[in-house]
Amino acid sequence: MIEVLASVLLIAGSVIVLIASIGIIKLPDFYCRLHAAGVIDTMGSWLVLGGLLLLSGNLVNGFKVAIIGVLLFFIAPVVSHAIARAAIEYDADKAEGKDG
Amino acid sequence: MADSMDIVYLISLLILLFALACSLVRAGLGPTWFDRILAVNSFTTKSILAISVYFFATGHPEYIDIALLYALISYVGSLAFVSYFNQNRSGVGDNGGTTGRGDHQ
Amino acid sequence: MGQLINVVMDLGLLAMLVISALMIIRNHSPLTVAILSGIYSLVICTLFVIMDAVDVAFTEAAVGASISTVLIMAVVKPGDEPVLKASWPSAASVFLGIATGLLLVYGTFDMPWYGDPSAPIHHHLAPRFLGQSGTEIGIPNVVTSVLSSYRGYDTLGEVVVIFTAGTAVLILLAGDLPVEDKSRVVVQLASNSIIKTILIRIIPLVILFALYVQFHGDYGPGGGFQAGVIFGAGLITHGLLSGSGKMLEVINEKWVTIGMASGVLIYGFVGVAALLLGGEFLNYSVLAESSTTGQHVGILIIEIGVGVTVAFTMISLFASFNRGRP
Repeated sequence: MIEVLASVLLIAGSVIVLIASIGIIKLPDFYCRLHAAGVIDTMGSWLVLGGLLLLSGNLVNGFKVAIIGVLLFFIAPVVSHAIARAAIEYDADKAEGKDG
Repeated sequence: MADSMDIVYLISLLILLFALACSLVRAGLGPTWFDRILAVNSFTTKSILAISVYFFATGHPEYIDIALLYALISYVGSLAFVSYFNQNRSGVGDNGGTTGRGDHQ
Repeated sequence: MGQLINVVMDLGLLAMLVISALMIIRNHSPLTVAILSGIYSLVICTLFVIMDAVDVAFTEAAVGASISTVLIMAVVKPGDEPVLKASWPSAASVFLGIATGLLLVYGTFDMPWYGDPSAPIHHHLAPRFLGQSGTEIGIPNVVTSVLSSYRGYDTLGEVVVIFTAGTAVLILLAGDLPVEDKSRVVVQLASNSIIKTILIRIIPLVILFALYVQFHGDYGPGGGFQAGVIFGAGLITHGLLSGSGKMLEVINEKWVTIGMASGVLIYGFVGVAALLLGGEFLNYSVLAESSTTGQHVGILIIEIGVGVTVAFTMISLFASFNRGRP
């Protein structure tokens, strides 16, 4: 029973990661691709790691998997924010005419 | 039941491998540097997931420290890029950087 | 089924390795090459994982994801001219490359198959290490026991190499910058920005993880080298967020250089202590009453020495590369 649920979560998470990755290739602009990449870090990783959490045997492995999920949940959006800010300032500087 | 679990692991790893290839394509194609940094970032996250699934598939879940290390360290490369990019551009000396505009947050 | 997973992952990752290497070769701009080499490092780390070399993958992950990218980004500007203009190779060099490659492939036909248990390398010293490590040294991680005890002399050489590299960078980058660079004003992150608020609070977790890896190296993947790199990455984050001047306020530059040297001295002192207690150089069995306790004590202390040298070398490299910035 647990294995069925974990399999569903694993496959669903992998499919969501795949869909977001196809989005990274096909979307037209950098800022649109940033939206697609954000899906991978939060939804995709939580589904996959949730499936692995159900499959972990003892408490220590489950704790490590949960810690990975929590860290990805907090750090990855901050990194996306940092990249987006740098991109906005670069584009604004280019629009103003400063070379870069 | 263990055999069907193996098939699930194999399918999941194949899908994640294909997603990794997609990130690689974007890193090669992306016209600006930001596209490439985005691709490296998502490559890191997907390889964390792939390594975790692989260790569970081969029956050694105690080695998952590597994925934990990646989750902790992966931001340093992108942070270095962001910290240095606006400072290092030619012609920008005084108003570049990440507090240049919009200090209203 | 496990074999199938291994084969599939091996083929897919090797193909991605070749493609990323070709992308690095064919690209013009140095900043792009710096970003793409991050992907190369990630792919090779995952390959090491598939090959069951967990400790090597650990070190590759720690170094490739953080330290090498930070050091390259400090010097590469977006507007840099490419050093060599990428162009199509001439017919003679293509022919030479393909001929050499085919000769090498022909040369591998005499080698044993990948992972063959009857290969000569598995019959020389490896059975002794794998068989006797449990009784002679008694720690679960055989990689650590081989690295620290059976081949401890080689590891002493590696630590001295890291120390020498750090010293060489200090010599090359010593002194002040020329006058026109001093006028470059550098703007740092605002202290209430999202990036700084969250990432500053991740640094204690990174340092805690470094200590965990350092002392857990006997029982799982890890050890002194990886722990030093992770510790250095944590402090380098502080340097990236608040400026390398603030990072050097946390640890003084004088103490950084003292730290680099003291790790090597700790390692050498363990060896000399073994000499003084009646054994050979770096024979840990004489360090305590029973032989295995002596091995445990010796491995613990030399791993601390390795971690200290590597951590302070990373900090010193970052500080040297950022000498012009506040």
